[in-house]
Amino acid sequence: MRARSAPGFLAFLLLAGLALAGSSRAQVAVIANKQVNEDSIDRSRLLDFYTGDIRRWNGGTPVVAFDLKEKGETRDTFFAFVGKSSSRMRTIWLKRMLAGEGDPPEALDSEEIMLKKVAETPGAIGFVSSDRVNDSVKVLVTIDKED
Amino acid sequence: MNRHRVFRLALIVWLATGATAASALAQQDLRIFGYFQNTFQYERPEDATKSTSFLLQHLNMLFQKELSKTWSTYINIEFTNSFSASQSWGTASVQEAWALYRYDNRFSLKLGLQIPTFNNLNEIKNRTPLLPYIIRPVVYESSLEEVISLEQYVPNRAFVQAYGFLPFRRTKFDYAVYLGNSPNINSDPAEGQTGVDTTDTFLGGARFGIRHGELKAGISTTYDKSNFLHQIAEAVGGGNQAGREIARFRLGADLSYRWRDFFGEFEFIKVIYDDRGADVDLDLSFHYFMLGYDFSDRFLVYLGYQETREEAFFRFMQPGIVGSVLEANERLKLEIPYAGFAYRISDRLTAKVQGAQVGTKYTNTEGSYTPDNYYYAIALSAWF
Repeated sequence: MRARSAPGFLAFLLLAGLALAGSSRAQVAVIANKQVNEDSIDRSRLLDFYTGDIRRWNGGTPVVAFDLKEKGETRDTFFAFVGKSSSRMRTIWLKRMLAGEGDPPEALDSEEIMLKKVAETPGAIGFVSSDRVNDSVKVLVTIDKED
Repeated sequence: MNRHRVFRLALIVWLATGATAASALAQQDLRIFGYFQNTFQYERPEDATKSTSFLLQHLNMLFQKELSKTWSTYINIEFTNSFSASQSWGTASVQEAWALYRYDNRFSLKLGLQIPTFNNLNEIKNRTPLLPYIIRPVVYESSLEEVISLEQYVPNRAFVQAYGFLPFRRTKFDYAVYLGNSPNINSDPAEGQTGVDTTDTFLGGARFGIRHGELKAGISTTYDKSNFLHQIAEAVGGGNQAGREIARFRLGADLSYRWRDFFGEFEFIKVIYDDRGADVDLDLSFHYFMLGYDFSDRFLVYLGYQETREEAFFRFMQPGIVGSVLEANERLKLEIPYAGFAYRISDRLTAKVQGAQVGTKYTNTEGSYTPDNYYYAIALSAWF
């Protein structure tokens, strides 16, 4: 009886381990238009792009930041990475807009549209789940969802 | 032939490029947006009858247009206190009308009528959707402008401002310097063109600040010269102060911080009139603090305290009457503890509740007057 159940238990552990490993690998990629002349980005610069404090890439191209409309794991992970809750970001954007300093990032309906818009728009930056990334965009940084 | 073809091709490319650029600019339409705050208030003065009132406290219409990658324009028209020209209610004013040139984060230049940078709250004092308050700290409460001379405490208008920030690692050093009119603006059509400065002096001001994460702090200052003594001297029949201008310094400090779900802000303002003549002593001070807590993404509570002090002493020699002196000696202190909460109904709608006790201590040469007023209000704030 014991001998027969042990392989089943081990298989269960193996599957559970794989599932856990799979979830820990789930990542969000910060993506940019391929013409952007920067290959990586740190948290504070990313935050500056999304708050509108910095409006141009190093080469002088205007930054066009995109956001996602729907709340979800990808969006939450991204804003947790930059160190602001989505409600705090909303307040920052509203302040800039009402002061005439600029608009909030355009909020898109889905990650597929995000990927397409970033690929098509010079100076664009956005974020999608890592498994959606293709070679139409460049990845500046990858965020572990545990970060 | 080839030269003609090349020329025609170049012409087509040039026209196409120009048309594309023009169409790109045309696509950046004029944006019209704004916000308003309606209130219902209940006032219970200690020495007068109670009152209740509905009020359109604020309506601001905003217009913005991006002219190019570096230039944009913005207009802010404000109506307060259920404005009606036919009923003579409230005020209507162009608060801002400027063009902004952005070089980069280190340097921007704002040209035209604008609210200058002074402390943390001055620029956003009228952006009611951003504030949890219904009645803001009193020197920023523009719906009281008909009652209190707010501009004595904070600068409300400038015309040229350079600003930006310099980053150092994760810290940003903010600066803003600006120039505007002195407070000696003509309001009487009988005296000539209204809205213009009647003296050859300016308002000069600056704020230097620091931002690090959720910490924001700064110091502010302005300098200008006021000829208000001329008006007072005329009103009371005094003569020896006429024409004299008094230098005025505003000094400010601000601190705001957010830690997890707690947030807080503090400001201090001191206004000093250079009264070396010894026959005028006029000093104003104001401070407030607010502590708050975000219970959720939608619901926050706060409490705070603000205090305003005004001390005024004037002595005028009456012309033509030897030894006759007109004297005024007044002190006013307002102590206002307040508390409230705000609930965000949706992205564009917020409900607010606030209560405050306004303790007044007024003293002059004839005695003192110390009534307490109680004020409660609910409000709906919206932006569109």
